[in-house]
Amino acid sequence: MFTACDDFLDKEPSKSAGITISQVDELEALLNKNNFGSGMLDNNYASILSSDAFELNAEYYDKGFSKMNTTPEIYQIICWQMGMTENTNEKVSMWNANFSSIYLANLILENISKVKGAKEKIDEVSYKAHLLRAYNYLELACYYCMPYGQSTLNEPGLPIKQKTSYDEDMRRVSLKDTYDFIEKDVLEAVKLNTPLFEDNVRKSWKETGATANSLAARFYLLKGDYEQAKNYAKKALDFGNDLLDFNNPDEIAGADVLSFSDHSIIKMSTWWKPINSKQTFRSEKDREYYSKDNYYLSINLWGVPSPKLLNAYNHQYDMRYRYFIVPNFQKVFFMGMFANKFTMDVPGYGVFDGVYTTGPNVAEMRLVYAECLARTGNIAEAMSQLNDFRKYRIDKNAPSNVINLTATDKQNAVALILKERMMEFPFSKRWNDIRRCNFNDDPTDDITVVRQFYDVQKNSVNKDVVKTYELSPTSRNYPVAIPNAEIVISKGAIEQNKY
Amino acid sequence: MNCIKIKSFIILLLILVEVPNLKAERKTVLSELFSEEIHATITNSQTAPSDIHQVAQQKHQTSGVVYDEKGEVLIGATVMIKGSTIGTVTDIDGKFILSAANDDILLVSFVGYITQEFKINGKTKLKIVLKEDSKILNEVVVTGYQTISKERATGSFDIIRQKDMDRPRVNIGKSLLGKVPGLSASQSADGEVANFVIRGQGGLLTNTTPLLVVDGFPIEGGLNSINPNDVESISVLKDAAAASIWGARASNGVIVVTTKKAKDNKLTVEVTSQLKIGSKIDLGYLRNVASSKDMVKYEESLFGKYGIKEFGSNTDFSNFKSTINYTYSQVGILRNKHISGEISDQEFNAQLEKLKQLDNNDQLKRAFYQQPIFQQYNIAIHGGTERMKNFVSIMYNHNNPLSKRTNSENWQFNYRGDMSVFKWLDLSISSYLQYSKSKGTANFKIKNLAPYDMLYNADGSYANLNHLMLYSPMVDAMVPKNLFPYEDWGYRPIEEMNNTNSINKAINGRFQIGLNFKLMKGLTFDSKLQYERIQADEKTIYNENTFYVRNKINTSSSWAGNNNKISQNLPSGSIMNLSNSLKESFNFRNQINFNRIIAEKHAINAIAGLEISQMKSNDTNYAPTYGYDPDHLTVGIFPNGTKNLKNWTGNDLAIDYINKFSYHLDRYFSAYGNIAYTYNDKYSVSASVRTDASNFITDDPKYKYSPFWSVGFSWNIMNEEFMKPYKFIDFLKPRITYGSNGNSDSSTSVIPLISLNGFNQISGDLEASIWSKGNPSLRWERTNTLNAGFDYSLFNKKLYGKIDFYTKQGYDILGNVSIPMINGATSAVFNNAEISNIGFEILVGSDLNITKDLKWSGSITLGYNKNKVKKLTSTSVPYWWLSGEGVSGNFFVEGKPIGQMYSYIYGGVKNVGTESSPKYLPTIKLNDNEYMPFGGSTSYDGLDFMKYEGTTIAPINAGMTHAFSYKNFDLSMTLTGKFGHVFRRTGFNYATNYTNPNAQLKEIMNADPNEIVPMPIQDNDNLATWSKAQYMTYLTSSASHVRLQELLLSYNLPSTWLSKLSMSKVTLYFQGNNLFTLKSTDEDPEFLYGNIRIQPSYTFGLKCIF
Repeated sequence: MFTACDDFLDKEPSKSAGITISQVDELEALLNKNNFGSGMLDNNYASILSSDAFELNAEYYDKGFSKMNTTPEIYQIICWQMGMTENTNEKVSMWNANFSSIYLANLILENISKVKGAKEKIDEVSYKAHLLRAYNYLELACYYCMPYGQSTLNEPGLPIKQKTSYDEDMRRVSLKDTYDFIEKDVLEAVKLNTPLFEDNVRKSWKETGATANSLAARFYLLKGDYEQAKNYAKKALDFGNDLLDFNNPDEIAGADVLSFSDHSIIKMSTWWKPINSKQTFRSEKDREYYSKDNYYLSINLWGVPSPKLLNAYNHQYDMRYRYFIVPNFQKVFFMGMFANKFTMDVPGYGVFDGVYTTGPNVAEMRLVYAECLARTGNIAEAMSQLNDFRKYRIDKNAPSNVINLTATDKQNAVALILKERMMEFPFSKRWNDIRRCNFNDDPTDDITVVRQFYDVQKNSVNKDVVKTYELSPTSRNYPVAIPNAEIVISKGAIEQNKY
Repeated sequence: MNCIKIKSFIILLLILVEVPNLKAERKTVLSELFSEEIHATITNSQTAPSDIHQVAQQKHQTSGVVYDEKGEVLIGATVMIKGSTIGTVTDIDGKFILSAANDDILLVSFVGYITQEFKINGKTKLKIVLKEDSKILNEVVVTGYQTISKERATGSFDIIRQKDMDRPRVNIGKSLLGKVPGLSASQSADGEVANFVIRGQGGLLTNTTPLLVVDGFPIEGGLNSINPNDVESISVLKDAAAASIWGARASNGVIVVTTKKAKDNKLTVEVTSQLKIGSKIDLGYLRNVASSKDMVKYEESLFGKYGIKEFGSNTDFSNFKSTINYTYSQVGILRNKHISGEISDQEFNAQLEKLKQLDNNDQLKRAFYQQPIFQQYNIAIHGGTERMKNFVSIMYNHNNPLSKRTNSENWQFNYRGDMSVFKWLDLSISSYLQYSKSKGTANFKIKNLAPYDMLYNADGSYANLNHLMLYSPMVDAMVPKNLFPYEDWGYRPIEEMNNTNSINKAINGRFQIGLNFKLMKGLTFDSKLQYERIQADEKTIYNENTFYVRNKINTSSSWAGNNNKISQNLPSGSIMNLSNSLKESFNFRNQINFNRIIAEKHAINAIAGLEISQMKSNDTNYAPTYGYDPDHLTVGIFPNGTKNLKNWTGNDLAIDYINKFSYHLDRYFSAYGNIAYTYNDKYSVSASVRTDASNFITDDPKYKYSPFWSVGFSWNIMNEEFMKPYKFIDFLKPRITYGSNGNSDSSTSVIPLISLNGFNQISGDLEASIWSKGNPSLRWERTNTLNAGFDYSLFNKKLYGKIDFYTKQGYDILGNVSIPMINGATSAVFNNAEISNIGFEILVGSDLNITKDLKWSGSITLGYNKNKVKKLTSTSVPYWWLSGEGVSGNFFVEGKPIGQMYSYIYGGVKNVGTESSPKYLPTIKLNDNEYMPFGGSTSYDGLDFMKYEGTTIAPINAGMTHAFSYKNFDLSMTLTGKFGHVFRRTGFNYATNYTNPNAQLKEIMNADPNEIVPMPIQDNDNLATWSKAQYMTYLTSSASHVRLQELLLSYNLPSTWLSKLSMSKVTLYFQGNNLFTLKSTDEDPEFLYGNIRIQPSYTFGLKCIF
């Protein structure tokens, strides 16, 4: 009798909200939503605060630099007191955001063999899901784990989630196993051949072949496999290698921004002309392969350039210095909202839309390609690639020796390329460069960072004591702490980093 | 003659039925196919002529008068000769005349009275006194599936009789207030009942409202779809015995409404009308805003502090873009103009002084509010013949609520017909049709207005208040308004109200058809079908005179600061929004009933049935219609299409042109059975079983089914020999039930579900999001309920009532549980909570005749419920959700009741800096040594340092009624009380960015900063982090209160006057509702400051029966 009724009860309660997955189009629609939603935002504080491109000193603090005094976590990350960061708001953590995307990838992969649709589409969505999972795992590994290297292979990695169910082992596997797991996904992802351009629109908000290959290049660069990294960087560039030319006034412009406090005009750059823009959603910015952004406004602070960063630029000819370094950033109108009592001129690195792009782009792949050439001994070609890149960044009226650099040896070539990367990505990719350089097989590229600041404590900053903080290649203070709530809720199955 | 016709018809039918069985043995077939009664009918009809002859010879005229116990005559009482169809009805003087034989027995019955038998014994003049149906004796419980006499019932239930409902009502909700122990009601500001909870909340996430059943079927339309004048009785079923018969949807109890049927052959017309006059708005309570003077002073204290943005009017376009939507109060604008040098010191001070003198309260009151008036007219006509009884009623309501330019009308039609088609078949048809129409206007947020925002200019014209909507100084300074589609950018609230019209029309219908086959003595078969349809259409038109339209069209135009190029993207003219919704449901039930007393000692009442039901809803939200011309029904076109457009600030413009549809379907299949057996009128045993299956999504069909069951026992002690000496006890019945019930949640599933969001207008791609991450452990929630109690009546009903104890233990209750974020979420819904509700309920009632004319009856109800979340796997309870700040949805704490309240302990102002660089901040006490400053954080769990303050849900609900009756006057009152709970009273809101400081500003002025959170000490503190001050222990107050729900005076016109008017009854009512509330604070715990509070209303009513 009851089975007879199953037909009656088999009718699903909804047609749009709360439905089961049956079509590949539905899985693709989940990805589409993620591409337009919070899945494209990073909460990567360390990439802004922890590198040697960032400056905070006692004087700024004394003059009331921003209201970030309510968030001790920011000082802890700046001074690499990573063990104290466990008391973070886990809701806005990378941990939460990235595992949400990993859940989505797992949901797609669990259903991909069950859905109806064209085989090509099913394969494409599957590759995209592997890409999504690999991308998010790699970001997590670069934030919450020790950097990858021969000395750290047995350090704790991440819990491996491959299913949507709640019963998987929550314990962190080793760093090696974590990278092996990511590699498998990366190798699936690079099968993706979706073009970057569709109808002449650069669909950088979506997963494409360019995203997959640039992710693979990044991944192997982090692992120190420069041959592979080079090959994938090349493949990524094949999807589109066009750079924004800072010498072309049609491609970059300075916007006039009214100062908050004294009504003076401040020059500030935009990646696009805000008026009469023909761009559709998500501008091309610096020719992205994947539109992942870190919203620096959301944490109420901006990238404050360190003297080291400022000195790296040729102040006269480097257009990045000209466009992006704003000497009195606190006067910029929207910054004034957060720091309007701060009267000291503090420089800032920023563009008008308030984001630092963390996703892979043409500039990154060109420099990865150049670095891999250098690291594998092809110095001449590496320098040629570097100088070709610099043409887009250095004023064309500069003397040729300012534009074109020469390297004396491999170590020098690598150093020049790393410096270029710092100038190009100071508050997005520099932090990862420090991490990888200090743990790769090459001891000559190591970077030690030193800061002087007040004594940073768990809940406050003690202004009575000034301390010198140092992040050396032997430090254990690279990973940010996993949110404490996660340790508690997992009943200790997920272990905290040891500092 | 009629009788004979029916009988002949039945015989004819019998013959027809039997033709195919001619060869079968006639008697057997008859008794199998039909009941003994019908067989007997045939015999009778064959012998009828001689019987009639015999009776007629011995008959003589008998007359009499029927009185009630008060000595009033009863009009319309039925007097029948037992065992015959001969009878009559008492006339206006209570008289009847009948021809009867000497040894005939008269059966006299009247609604609400006990049917009595009188032997004629040769008398010709009879005086018959009918006893009123006792409070507890001979009452019946209508469960919706069956009707059981109270003596045999084992379960816990309450009955509201017509007497208690016979008064003006907007809906029936109020009739239950204070009369049903264990029932807790929430009221809306107009005093009507919005929601009920029976015996505490049993689930965390699933629905907690009781099932509402009308005439045997659950309805979707709610209390307002029931005509209060048509209700005969209400049964409230509270325990497992009740719920198990109703299955999955009944775990929160069942309210069973039975509507009136035509009772007798006499045509009766009832006309009722009422006029309810509500109190005018308490605007001060609703706005709860500081005075103009205090507000200006407060705003002055914010100048240049707390990170509040300050900027002038004229700036470059990029600043314009990012600030145009900031709204500042008039004071805030003056401040900005002053620091940017646009106005002089002198003008600045003069303007501030001027604002301090203004008060818009009277203007607001006059412009937006009216006297609430509710009118109701109802006419009910019923009557019929032996074979067909009809009941028709038509009700009309007209309501003018508090807000001007809003009103609603409501027509309701009910029909109920009961037909006895054949002796073996009854047919009942009922239908209900409701048409309602409500008119509304702009959704105006009165609380946005500062007390100095006057509606009128000095010259009487409407003032422009567009600073409430955007940063108006920049619009004035920078926007070439004359080049935009609408030059007028003004926002004038009265104009907004006058030019926005919304109309909501609803047509609800409910149709029932029921067939009752009498198969044999005591055995019947019911087949019933209900179809319900609720259809609503909503239309809102904003015309060009509204800011809404002008601003929308202007800001949608492309401009981007380029004064020569303004391109209109939306057509000019009115904007119309349309939406509609349709809910359809049906139930189809087939049930077999057996109800018989065997060998005088064994009473059996059993039912078994199958039921399917479906509820389907379809909603449509249409995209706005732009450029609508209501006179010619034409619409505008998008001048530049819909793609690649920019708005006035140069941002992407997404024109909403997409219609949205939604659909939901719930299906249930149920099989059920119930048996009650009573031995010798003493011992009753009951058992019921039911299984429900729903269409929720699972990969294993077995999860769709859930069995429910209950058993019960009751003992009618008074029928025992050994109780005979205890004469003072009229009635005593201990009873006990135990059962298991369940609830399901069709919004979640075992497997992850998604929802399709439609196409992204910018990317053009189809988008979908995760709807539910799935609950692999999903199963039915189970609640085991034990109920033990007894009913009693003492001293000839002078004292009566009942006492019940219950425990409800819920297992596998769905709860929101913290899970590690590696699962892609911070919480998930699992079936792993346990909830217990333990309580008792007492009803004490009394009827006394104080003097011959003066009677008093009263009752007290008391319900105590102890609710506790016994288990909830959640290891961490963060303080920011324990306090309730920034958390949406319900969260619960293991070991505490649902509705737990936790507060911060204020630690006073502390130096959180160092001695050399002090920083003073208000703090929250963590323990004796540690304090968390405002804006700071802690790694302590919320439970480690926050104070548990009790529950916000009243554990004690009490009610008291008194009714006095003196001659033709009746006076009654109902009080309800809720006790033992707490609420968080409104504290100062530490208004920032020039929003309105509330009236509690005075509490912090001159207060000790270590007792009450003061304003910030440093100028650069972030006032936004002061929101924690709203969750301090010092704001917790007792929420206990008592309300006078009702005071009713009614007067029955003397029958001597009425007879001249050929009326049988005329009653006048005067009723006052919500006349007062006793509470511990000025703030009403159920209507907090900032809301419309409950206020007295006065109703005049009239009821005439012809």
